[in-house]
Amino acid sequence: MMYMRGFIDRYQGSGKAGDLSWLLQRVSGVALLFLLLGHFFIEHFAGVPVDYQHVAARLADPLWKAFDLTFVVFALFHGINGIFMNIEDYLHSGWRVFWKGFFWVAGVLYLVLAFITILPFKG
Amino acid sequence: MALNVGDKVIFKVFRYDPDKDKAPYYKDYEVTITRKGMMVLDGLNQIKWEQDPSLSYRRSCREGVCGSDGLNINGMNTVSCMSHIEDYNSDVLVIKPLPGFPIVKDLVCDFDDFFNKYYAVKPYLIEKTPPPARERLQSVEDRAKLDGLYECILCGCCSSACPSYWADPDYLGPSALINAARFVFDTRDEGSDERLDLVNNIHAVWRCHTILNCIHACPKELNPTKAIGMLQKEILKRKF
Repeated sequence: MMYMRGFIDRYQGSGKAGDLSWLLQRVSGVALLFLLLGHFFIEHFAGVPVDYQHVAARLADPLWKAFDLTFVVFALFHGINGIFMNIEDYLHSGWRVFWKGFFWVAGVLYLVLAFITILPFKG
Repeated sequence: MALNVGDKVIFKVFRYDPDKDKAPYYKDYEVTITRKGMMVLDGLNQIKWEQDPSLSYRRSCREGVCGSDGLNINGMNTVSCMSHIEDYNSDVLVIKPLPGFPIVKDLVCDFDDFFNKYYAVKPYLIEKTPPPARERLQSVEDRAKLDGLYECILCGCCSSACPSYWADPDYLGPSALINAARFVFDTRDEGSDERLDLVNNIHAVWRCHTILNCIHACPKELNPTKAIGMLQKEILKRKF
């Protein structure tokens, strides 16, 4: 669309059309429905006491590591992608570049933090 | 509220003449019900013809086909020629131009941007094969797929009711997108690839957040959100 080629549109990243982020938002949403409810059930309703000993024992299991990493990846993506949608809705100046960059950096840092916390954990 | 002949209704009309007024204001007019079933447009005509000729508003066919008189009446976008005064159950009708559009004068909005976005989706039959000797035929079932898409009168009520349209000046809006769908799902059309390519854009189908105001606003009772959903599904189906 020629008339739409504004200055700011150049800064929208490689997934320009927005179809992939729209689709992944739905995929991660459905995944979170199970991951979040599962997490909630295990932490609060399964009858296992929530203290360091029990949580640490569970987190030492590679399968639970996989569960928690999947959870954190989908939750981060879903949350930050949602913020991106808001930014694209309401910001049309250079601030869009700043805030998208800010959440990219924050998201990547958080992901690294999650991985270095969960992966090497031995109990 | 049943209105009888002789009853009075107050029209609080948005007035703004950029040449004379510093700021917009509301002016009250007393409209007399002269016959049963008067439309809001009849009331506006009464004001213009009998009380205040300086009032500006668009109207043409007065029967819900031309789409000229999209207005915001008591907070709802609709066309004034399809709205009975008595259906509002109120002695006072607040009449504003369509929200989100630049105002030219009084109730007249600037539709340039709206129509440019409509033209952007190529709202016409694109043909690549030479036409048959007689007309291009379509089965009754294929024709029925266009019900709920082709009836759009371009009054602007849906786009003007859409918060995504207000927020993103580049968003094509529900009206342009339902018209894109009208041709994408037409079996006689051969331009759906280029049309889907156009609407597969961050400022087009993916800007819709299913707020559903457009369905509420449409005076022809169409469903632009569903049409946008059909386009999204079609794009993803062809790509993945």
